[in-house]
Amino acid sequence: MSRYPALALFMALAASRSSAAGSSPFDILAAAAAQVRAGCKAVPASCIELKAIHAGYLAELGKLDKCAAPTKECTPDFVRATFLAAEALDQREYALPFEARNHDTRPLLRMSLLLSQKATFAWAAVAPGNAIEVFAGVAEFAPKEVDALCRIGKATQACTAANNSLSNAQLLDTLLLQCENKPADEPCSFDELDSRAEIAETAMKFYTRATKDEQYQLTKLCSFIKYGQDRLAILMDRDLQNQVAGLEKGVADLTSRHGAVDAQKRFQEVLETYRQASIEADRISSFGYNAQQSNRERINAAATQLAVIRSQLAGGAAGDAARALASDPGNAGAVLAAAYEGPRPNAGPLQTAREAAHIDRVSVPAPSPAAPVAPAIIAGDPSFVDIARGLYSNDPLKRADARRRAGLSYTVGNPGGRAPLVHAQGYPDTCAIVAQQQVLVDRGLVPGNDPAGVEERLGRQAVNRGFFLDGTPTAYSGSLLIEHGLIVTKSAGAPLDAMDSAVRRGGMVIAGVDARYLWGKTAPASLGHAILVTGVEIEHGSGKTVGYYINDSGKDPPSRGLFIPIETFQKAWDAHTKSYVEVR
Amino acid sequence: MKKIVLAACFAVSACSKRAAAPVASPLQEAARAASASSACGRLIPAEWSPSLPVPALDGGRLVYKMFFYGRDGDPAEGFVFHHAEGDATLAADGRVLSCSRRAGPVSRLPKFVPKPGVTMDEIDRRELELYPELQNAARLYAERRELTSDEKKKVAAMAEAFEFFIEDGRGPDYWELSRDFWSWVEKNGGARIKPGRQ
Repeated sequence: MSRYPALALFMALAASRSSAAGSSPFDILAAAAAQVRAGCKAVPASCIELKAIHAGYLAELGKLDKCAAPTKECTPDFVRATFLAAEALDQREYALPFEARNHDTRPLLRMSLLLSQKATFAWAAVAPGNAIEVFAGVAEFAPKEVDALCRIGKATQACTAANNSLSNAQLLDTLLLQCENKPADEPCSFDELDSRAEIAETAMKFYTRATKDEQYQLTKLCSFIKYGQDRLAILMDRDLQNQVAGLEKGVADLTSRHGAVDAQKRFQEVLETYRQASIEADRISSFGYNAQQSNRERINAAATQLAVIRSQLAGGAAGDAARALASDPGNAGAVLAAAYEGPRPNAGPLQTAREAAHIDRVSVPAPSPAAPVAPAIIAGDPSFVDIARGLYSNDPLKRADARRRAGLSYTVGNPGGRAPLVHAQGYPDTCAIVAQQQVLVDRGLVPGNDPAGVEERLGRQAVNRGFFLDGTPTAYSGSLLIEHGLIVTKSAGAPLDAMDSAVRRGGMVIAGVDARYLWGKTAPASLGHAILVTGVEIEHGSGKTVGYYINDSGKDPPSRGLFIPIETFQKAWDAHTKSYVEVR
Repeated sequence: MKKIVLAACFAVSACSKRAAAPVASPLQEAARAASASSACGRLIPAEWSPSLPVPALDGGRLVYKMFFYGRDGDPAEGFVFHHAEGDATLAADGRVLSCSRRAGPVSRLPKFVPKPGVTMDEIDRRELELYPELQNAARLYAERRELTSDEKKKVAAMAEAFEFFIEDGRGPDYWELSRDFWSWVEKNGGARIKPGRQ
């Protein structure tokens, strides 16, 4: 297997860009035929070559019809030859005089993309699970494309962006070579790889500033960046295997050496391994590399254990609660009550334990209070009769309010204490940033007295680290928390029961939801949104969830400890990605 | 005491049975969660809205194409949705095959005005009903044969149901997603999605 195993991926990307422009194969073929006629007229000397290239594409496309259904002729070698032919024809087209090519829409190049797209699907059919081992000189052609774009002169901004993108891609190429040429036993470190990842993200960010027409002129540049991302993903994946193994070993080591004098130091080392493994797993996913899905599960499992170890190291009530919660997560209320009998002082046993254990005070979460205060579900002071009526109400909100007032349910978490953490987000796409900000404020990692300023700073940090792309992609939700030394577990496509268990553990949970149901807004498609779940209301006896308390930064003023009945939350959950981040 | 009495009252009243909620099809589930798939998980912000999936043929194989878009505004001021900013292709079974972002400056639709009198319950119900119709139309489309008059009626009904979910100005996004499908719909039942529809 070559070290360039993901050509098929960027071919697919290029193909999807083609479809993004809304071009059907018929459009592409018709445009190419028209271009041959126009090119012949503009540069008669290139007419024969233009026609030959066009005929070449048509012939290759025709050959691929053999792969429309499984046949003996459609072999991996056959498909590989098509890829190479597409590349060769594209290079011939590029060598034509500028005037002979329609440099605005590049119809012949689009034929090349169409050919690649078909070949990609054919390859997936004949060699499933194998990346194609073909790579042609995009490093040489990308600068020529950028040069050609800049020579048009009518796209100055695009020229600047393309040059910035190209210089980052070239830097990435050089730095990756350094890593690739290192001996196997002295690979590039996480920090070296991660700095290259930032360069790769920057290169792609500049590239995506081009309009779709300009992008048609920069397909080699796109391939060049993707080529770098693929190589980086391979290097990171190798490193990740070591990181995850090291993380698991570190956790096992800490578990067996409970009480050892150097446990604190070892814990910090393992925590750093967790950070690196978690970020690396997200990066690899970011580059579209088909890494093992089990990595995230293994990291989540280790993170869960690591959080328990952290609390054990802190000792005292926090340790007791953590151990008990780990063994009986469904019984959170009783456990916490046992851990904290009576009113909890402001600087309670946890604070003392932290100081005694010399653990960074901010990395240890405060357990939820045994008897948390929750904001009113419905404000006011209803009479006995009103409460009795409410118990039978069809309105889930009234019913939940009446149940709580009647003592039929209890609260887990800390919705009252966490309510002041939220502020109205400053931008339409920073909900996940503000959700993470609340956690960081709660842990004392960022100041709470300048919410708008901190949101800006965290937003910039997320952009610089590649965690933000006009919003927070699911893969990077919670990544700012990891960067600040917190332990989180990430889940996507999970049932609500899984998130419910997380909230019942008493910590904070960042959940992805469809905000239409929370905001009472009707729209034909879901409104993706991130909220902080700060507590849960549980029915006595049955143990059923009545609803959740949330901090919602999407409204102004924000919702602080707002109660959402389970019926409503379930809809908001089901209509979105079913993703959440549990802060441990 | 007040609590005890109320609890006793409550215990007497049996919980009313709730009707089982209709279940979303695997394709609907996949479309909702597409932005968190491994293909889209990093590219597509979780805040973006997903379109409905539209059938398309790719080398003779039935796939579904969908797009994603962001928004400006807030619940109080209302929303301005963007034109398509990202794309995904789903296999017929809902697996996300590929994902990409579109580039260039953000292009916005007119300010969104909710349809008067329409509730979320109605939207949910219509969406649940649409998916089987859409998948049936996709099957007919992939078969590439002459449709019976009954089948044509079903295609027309699907197009009408689909229309409900298209915001003002969104038509071109759906048209561009799968021109061939919409042309086929037009030929077989009366197109509701037209290029340049505003």
